[in-house]
Amino acid sequence: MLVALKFSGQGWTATGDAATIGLRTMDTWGPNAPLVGQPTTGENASGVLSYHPGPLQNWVLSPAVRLLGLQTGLLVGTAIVVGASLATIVWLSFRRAGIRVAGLSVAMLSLLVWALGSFRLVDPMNSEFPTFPLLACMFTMWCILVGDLKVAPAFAFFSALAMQPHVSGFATLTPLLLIALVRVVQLIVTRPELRRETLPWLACGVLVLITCWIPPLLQELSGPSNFTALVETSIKASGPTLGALFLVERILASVTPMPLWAHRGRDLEFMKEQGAGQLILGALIAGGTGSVALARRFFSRRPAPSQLYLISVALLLSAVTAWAGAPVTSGFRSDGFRWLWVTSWMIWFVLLWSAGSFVLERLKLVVKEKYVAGFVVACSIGICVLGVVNSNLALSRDNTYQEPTRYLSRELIAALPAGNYYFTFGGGSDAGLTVGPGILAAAEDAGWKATVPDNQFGRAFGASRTGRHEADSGRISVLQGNPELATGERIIASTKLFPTSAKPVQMTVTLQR
Amino acid sequence: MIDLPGDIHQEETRRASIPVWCKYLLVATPLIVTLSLAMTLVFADGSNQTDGSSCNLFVQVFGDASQGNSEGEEPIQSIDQALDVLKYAHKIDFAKLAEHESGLLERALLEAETERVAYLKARDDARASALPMPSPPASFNSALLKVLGLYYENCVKKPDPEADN
Repeated sequence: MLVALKFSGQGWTATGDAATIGLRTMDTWGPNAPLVGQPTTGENASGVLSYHPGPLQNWVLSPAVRLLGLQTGLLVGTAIVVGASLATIVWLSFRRAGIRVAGLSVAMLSLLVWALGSFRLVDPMNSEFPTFPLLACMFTMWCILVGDLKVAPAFAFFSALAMQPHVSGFATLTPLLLIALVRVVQLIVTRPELRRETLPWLACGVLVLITCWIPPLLQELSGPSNFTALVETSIKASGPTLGALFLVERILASVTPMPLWAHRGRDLEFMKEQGAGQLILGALIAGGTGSVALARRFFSRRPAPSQLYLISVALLLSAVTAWAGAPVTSGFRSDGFRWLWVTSWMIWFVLLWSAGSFVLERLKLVVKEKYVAGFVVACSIGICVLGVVNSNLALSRDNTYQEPTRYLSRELIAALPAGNYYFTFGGGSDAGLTVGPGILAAAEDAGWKATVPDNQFGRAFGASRTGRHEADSGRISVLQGNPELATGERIIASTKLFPTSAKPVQMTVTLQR
Repeated sequence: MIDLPGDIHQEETRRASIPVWCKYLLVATPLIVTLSLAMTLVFADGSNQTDGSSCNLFVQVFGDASQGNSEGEEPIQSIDQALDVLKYAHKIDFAKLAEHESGLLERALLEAETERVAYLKARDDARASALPMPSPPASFNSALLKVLGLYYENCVKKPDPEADN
């Protein structure tokens, strides 16, 4: 929350996808409420229009956006979701294995947050948003598989939150969701006492699951079917794909002694080529962790983390299956590969838990609970301090677009009366995909109404915003490069993107009545 | 440790029913599988181990960038030409890319892919209806591949200080 408020105080402005997510969030609880997620880019490869599976992100963020406005609301809403995810992971670590393992999870989460950077705690981008909910989902699934059915509501919520914002999460988690559901059915059929004890929690879980999936279900019932479109997209998409070996290399590289979750590297460093030594080291750690965890399970009477390891493996298998057929272009972005950070974290969590408890037993050491509790508190404070100190707008998504977008939005809103405007974006992707949506979102946040052309990019703004109304107040154009003004068109504001580079880009906002 | 809500007694019973040799086999399985995968990668005659860059995978699947490709695109004549295409047509700034701006690269890739798909569709339509063949796009894929390789070397992979010695 502190990180969110600091970014907000620095003037963070939603641009690109964050802006369209904010706009769709503003549509919740109204007649144009979103029933599906953002448009996918699958149309480029398949020609089939499809959307990400669900709008749960919009609905979850909506209270904060309603209360605090689009800009601050997006940051604070995301921070609440991430905070809830982190708290759930620590709580379930404690619930399953006690204060010492909870202490381990807090320490490791602190490192993960540091490695990903402060902005990841508040980033509303739909491919980045499910990272921490995915980890929380894995912990709730762990509980479900070992018979702790009281966490069913949390599992239902976090699984939906990890599956809906991006189709990759949906494809990756669907098999695991089915496994969990089968396990629940098996448990309530074979263990009547457990059924009696956990029935209210199970009922609540089913209720949460249904509630979270109501919008996509309504879309399926009202048509056209988005699920069918997603399937068609995956079938019809042509062109080269990532391939399983590419992914296996990334997986082994992610668990080496400098693991992905504890290493603050550059954005695409996870793609770095690994030598034979590193690959074998990664294999020894990934496989050795499983062997140690299973050995603890079979040959020790202490609670063992082997189930968590098996869940990690299941997630990896599912992710490889889902991603092996993805277009090669999807490899050049880290936010789509966050499952790699999650599995890397989980494998190391199992390794440190297994090895730590083994060493403590052998040496007959007892770590006093009050020391662990103190450690947990220290790590929690450390997360807060590090997070706030590292919250720098220059490290946020679309950092170089922030100031120009903020400036143009402010000038536009100050220059014109509120009304219903038709927005067009031209001259390049900076105007159409980043700055333009940011200006439009800021204008709507200020009480304007806006529409955009009905095309591939316009669909991200929602059907109610596409197409021009006859009685609008004018046409606002966000133009990249030197603007060629039409008759009756005038410049409202202009600025430069990348002003210090050799080739700065002119960005202009014009009005034509 | 707090009690596990799961039935510990039942788990113990299940453990007792597994033969010891089977337990050892199960324990060894993860290590065997992951080491096999690692060795497959090490000895794989292919995608990602040929000359030290993961980008080779991308280069392979799109075809040899320096030779053009089978879809009729003209090859880029020089690295500078490729860089120009990326820098000026797609506004890619490598300094900014290194400063956490990989979104730009993604957008460039998206645009290049969109253009490629549009070209292929136009070409197929032209073939089907005996219309004049459309002009191929300005070799964006080839340019992208080269620049991706450069980007990988310059921005992702840390420069080797001994390389020039």
